[in-house]
Amino acid sequence: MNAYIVAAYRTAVGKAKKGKLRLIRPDDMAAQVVQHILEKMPSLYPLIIEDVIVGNATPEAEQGLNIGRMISLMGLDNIQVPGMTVNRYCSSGLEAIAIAASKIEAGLADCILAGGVEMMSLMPMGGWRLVPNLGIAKSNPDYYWNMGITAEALQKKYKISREDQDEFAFHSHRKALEALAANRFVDEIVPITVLETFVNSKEKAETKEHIVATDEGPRADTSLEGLAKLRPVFAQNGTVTAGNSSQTSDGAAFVLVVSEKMLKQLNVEPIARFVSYAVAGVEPKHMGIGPVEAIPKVLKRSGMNLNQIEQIELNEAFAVQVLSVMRELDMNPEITNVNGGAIALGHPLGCTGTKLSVQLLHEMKKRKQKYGMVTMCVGSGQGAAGIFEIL
Amino acid sequence: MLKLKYASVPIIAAPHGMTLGGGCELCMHTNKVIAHAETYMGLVELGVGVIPAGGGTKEFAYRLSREIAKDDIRTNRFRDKFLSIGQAKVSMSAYEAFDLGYLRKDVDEVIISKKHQLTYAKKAALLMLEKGYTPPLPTKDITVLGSEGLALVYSGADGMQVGNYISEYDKHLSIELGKVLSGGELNEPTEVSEKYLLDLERIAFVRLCQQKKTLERMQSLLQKGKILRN
Repeated sequence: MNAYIVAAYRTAVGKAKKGKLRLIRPDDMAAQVVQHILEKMPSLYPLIIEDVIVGNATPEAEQGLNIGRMISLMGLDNIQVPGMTVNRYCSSGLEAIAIAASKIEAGLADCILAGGVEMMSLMPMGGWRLVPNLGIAKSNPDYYWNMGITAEALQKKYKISREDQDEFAFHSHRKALEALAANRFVDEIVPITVLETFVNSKEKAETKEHIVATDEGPRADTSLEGLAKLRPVFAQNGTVTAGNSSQTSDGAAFVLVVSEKMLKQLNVEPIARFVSYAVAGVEPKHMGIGPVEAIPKVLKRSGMNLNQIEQIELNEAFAVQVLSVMRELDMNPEITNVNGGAIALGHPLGCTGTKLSVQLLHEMKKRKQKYGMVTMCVGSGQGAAGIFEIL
Repeated sequence: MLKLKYASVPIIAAPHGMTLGGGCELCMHTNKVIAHAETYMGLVELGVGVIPAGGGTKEFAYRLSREIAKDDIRTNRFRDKFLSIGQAKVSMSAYEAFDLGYLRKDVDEVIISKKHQLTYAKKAALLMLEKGYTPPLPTKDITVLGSEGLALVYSGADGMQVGNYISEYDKHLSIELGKVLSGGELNEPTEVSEKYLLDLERIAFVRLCQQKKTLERMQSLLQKGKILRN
């Protein structure tokens, strides 16, 4: 049995702590995306949806209490649709799609809403209360290394220069800015209404409405000179800076995954077919290299080779990490992150996997391409990769 | 130091200028500090390869224990206290010493006039006597975090060393400090006495004094007046 994607939408991605999306709750934001999907597909109504699977990398506080279920309740306004939350850090959004597709292929469901949400504005990296295991902190402290230090470790291994990293970052912004100027994301973006209630200069509570519909990350003032001036942020005499790392962001994205039977019932054309997905473990200290293991795994499982993949979204956690992966697998830069990547567009952790899938599906449809891949590294040493067939 | 804290008469400290290491610890054990505005306070022992072992580390654990309210994220408060000593932070004024944890809010005071400092300190002592002074009871209920806090120190120090912000020996010293401030590898946050922590301080101090790199650090300060980050 095949699993098909019939809807793919995302919010614009906001800059954490500075953008307008910081003013809305993650569950409210995700609910708006869900409602948008319902509106766009008149034949779809809540009771048809059998589960809502939501990726999130910091499921606590505003993102706690099983946010997947809360999003189901709030977005669908129907107590009969369940919901769950999935955490595999940066791949959560893709994992959610894979779980949904697997259930449909296994005959456990006909229609599942899968996505991801992350509001990095609201919480410190890693969560509010970090309690490492004492034994592991002593024997394997690299299991707890922050992501930036793993990036520096990759730099040491692959000897990728600061200049190469900055140049990569520059092109990520350039591609993203070109995509924005050409309105390439307009079809996939759900404008989010943010109501801001604040205390005004007359010391009275006032409410303003904002509509967020444009990715806030890409910077028109990016230059190689500007990037070169930035100081390393994770190590003394390091090479990884805020400019050649992914941005911290806010965002949500969802796809609707259905069976062939449901396709007929909804009477809609599928956008894509889910082909395969694989995850792999790598050394936590070199977490960025994850895709190097995951990509061959998923290709083998689907009986394909890398040459057949016409477009790839490889999450740009760090420029040095992407360059290391691309070098190891001899990947074609021309077909990778064609509209820019996380360095420019942002990386809302749990949302990213779905967001990249949404971007990939829409862009490949426009280019009439067939096979595409979404892949990313995952903190604590993992990699994930998924393949879609655009129909 | 405990004799200072539990003496039958009120004891006031009137520091000014450099009040580092043992001087800082002394102030911390008095009933009240009347500090001159220009007072540079700090527990800087890590700079010479040891930890504050005149009760300074213990006092920090005690103050941390009193500051944590129910439902606070105590690991974050622990981190702040740890870093004051761990990074040998010295206040640039008496006012800053409150933020760093060396002076107590609502207890210690700052005086701007150097001329009047001693007079005011004496007045404060007499006032405490007049009000009826009873020495505090020995403290047996300092809540230390145990493994919860210590794991953060191991993890944090490793990260800092891998990032080249601190040396291997700095990391070693941080861990020795962490073992005292957290009370050791206890399964859960536990109430301990001052004696328990003072014993840990002493053991760590003696252990460190036997290490070459500590002696080198001490030598560097005594002979050249320089802090050695070996």
